[in-house]
Amino acid sequence: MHKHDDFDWLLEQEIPHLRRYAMALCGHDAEADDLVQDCLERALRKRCLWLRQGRLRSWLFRMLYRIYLNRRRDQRHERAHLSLDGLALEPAQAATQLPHAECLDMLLALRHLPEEQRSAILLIALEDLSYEEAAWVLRVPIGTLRSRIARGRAALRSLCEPSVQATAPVVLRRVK
Amino acid sequence: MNERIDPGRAPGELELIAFAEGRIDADALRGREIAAWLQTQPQARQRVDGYVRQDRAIRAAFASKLGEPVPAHLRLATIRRRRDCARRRWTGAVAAMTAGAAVLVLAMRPESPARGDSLEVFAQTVLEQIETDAPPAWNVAVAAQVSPVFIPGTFELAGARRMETSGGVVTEQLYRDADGRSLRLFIGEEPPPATAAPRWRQVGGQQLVYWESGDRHYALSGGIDAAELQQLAARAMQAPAEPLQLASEAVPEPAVAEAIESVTLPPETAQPVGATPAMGIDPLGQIEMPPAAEQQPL
Repeated sequence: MHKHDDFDWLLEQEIPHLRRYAMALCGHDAEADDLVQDCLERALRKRCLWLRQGRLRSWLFRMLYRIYLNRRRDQRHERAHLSLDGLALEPAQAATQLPHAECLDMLLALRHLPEEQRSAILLIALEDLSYEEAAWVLRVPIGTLRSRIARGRAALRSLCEPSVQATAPVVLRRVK
Repeated sequence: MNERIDPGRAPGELELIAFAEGRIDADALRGREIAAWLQTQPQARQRVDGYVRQDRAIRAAFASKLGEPVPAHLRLATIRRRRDCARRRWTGAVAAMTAGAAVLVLAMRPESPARGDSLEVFAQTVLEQIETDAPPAWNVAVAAQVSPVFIPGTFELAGARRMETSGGVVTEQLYRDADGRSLRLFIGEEPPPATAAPRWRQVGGQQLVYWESGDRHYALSGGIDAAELQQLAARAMQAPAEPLQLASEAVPEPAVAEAIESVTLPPETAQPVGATPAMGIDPLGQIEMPPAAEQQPL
C-alpha cells in the first residue's frame, strides 16, 4: 500500500476517537465536529510531520487540543454550553449497566471541572492514553498531569458523591 | 499466600489512582501489595472504587460517539475535495489578479521616449512645453483658424494658439467645462505616417495621453483624473475633427499676430470666433468616423 494511502487509512480509523474526545472537550456536537474538521485538515497538511514514532492518535489529539485551546483563547467559542440532548446514552447503558442518571451526573460534573483537569481526565479515563502520552498531548510535565488527574478525580467525587463532601480532602503524595 | 506488605510503602493517592485505572498490574508484586493494603483501609478502598466508577461513567457517557457513523463532511475524501476546490479557486483568483495587474501595468506603463520615434519626440516636446510654459495667451486669430477636435462631455473649445517648437509647429487647443476644468490638446503639424498606438505618460505630475491619427500627432493633457483623461482621449481619437486650418497661409501676418498675441481670453469669454457651442457637444453629425482599423483602443 502506498505510504499516503496508509496514512489516510490510519487517519480514518481515528476519526471516531477524535470526535469523541472533541465532544467531551466542547460539550457540543457541531462545535466538536468543527474542531475535528480543522484537525483533519491540518493533519493532511502536516502529515509529513508525523514521524510514525508513537501512536497516530496521540499526535492527532495533541493537534486537536491545540486547536481547541486556540479557539478558546480567541473567545470566539466561549465555554460551550452542555448539550445533553446530543448524547444517545442507551447503547452505553446496555453495555455498562450504568444508570442514565449516573452518566448525566458525570457529564455535568465534567462540565464543572477546570479545563486543564477535564482534558487530562478525559485522555486517561476515556481515551486510555498512557501518562506519558497524555502529558505529551497536553504539553505538560508528567507530574503536572498526574496532579491534575488527582485533583480532578477528587472534584468529580465531591460532585457525583455528595457524601464525599463531608470527608477530609484527599492529600496528595508524590509517588516516585 | 506469601504476601509481604511493607508498611513504609503504603500507596499514596496517585498510586491508588493508577491502581484504579489498571496501570499497576494487579498480579505483580506492587499490585498485590496495594490490594492487600486496601483490605485494611476501607476509606481508601472506597475512593478506589469511586475512581473505577468514574472511569466507567465517563466511558459510558461518551460511548455512543464511537459507534456513530462519521458524517460526510468529515470524510477524508470530502475534506480533500473541498481543499482542492478551495485551492483551485484560490489559484484562479491569484492568476486572475496577476493577469489583471499585468494588463493594468502594461496598459498604464509610462512610455519612455524612443529615439527616432516621432510621436515620442512630439510627446516629449509637449511635456516640456507644459512644464515650462507660462499660462498661454490664447490667440483669437489662431483659434478662429482651427476646428476643434471633438472632446466628449461638456468640454468646449475655449482658445487656441500656435507654437514653434523644437519638434515643429504645434497647435494647442484649450477646452473648458462648466466646472472650470481645462484640457489642453496639442496637435503636431509634421506627422509621419500614422502607425503608433496611443500611449500614456506621466512625468512630474503631468499626465499626457498622445496618439497619432490620420496625418497628425495629438497630445491631451489636463488637470483631471487620469482615467477620465484617457477615456476622453479614447473617444476623441475615434472622432477626428475637420481638417485643421493650419496651413501657413492661415497664419496671420507677423505684425497682426503680434498685435493680437496680447489678447487673452478669460475662460468665461473664451469663445473663439469659429467655435460654436455645437462644437464639442454634438460633433458626430459632422465628423467622419475613421475606418475600424484605425480605431485603436487606449
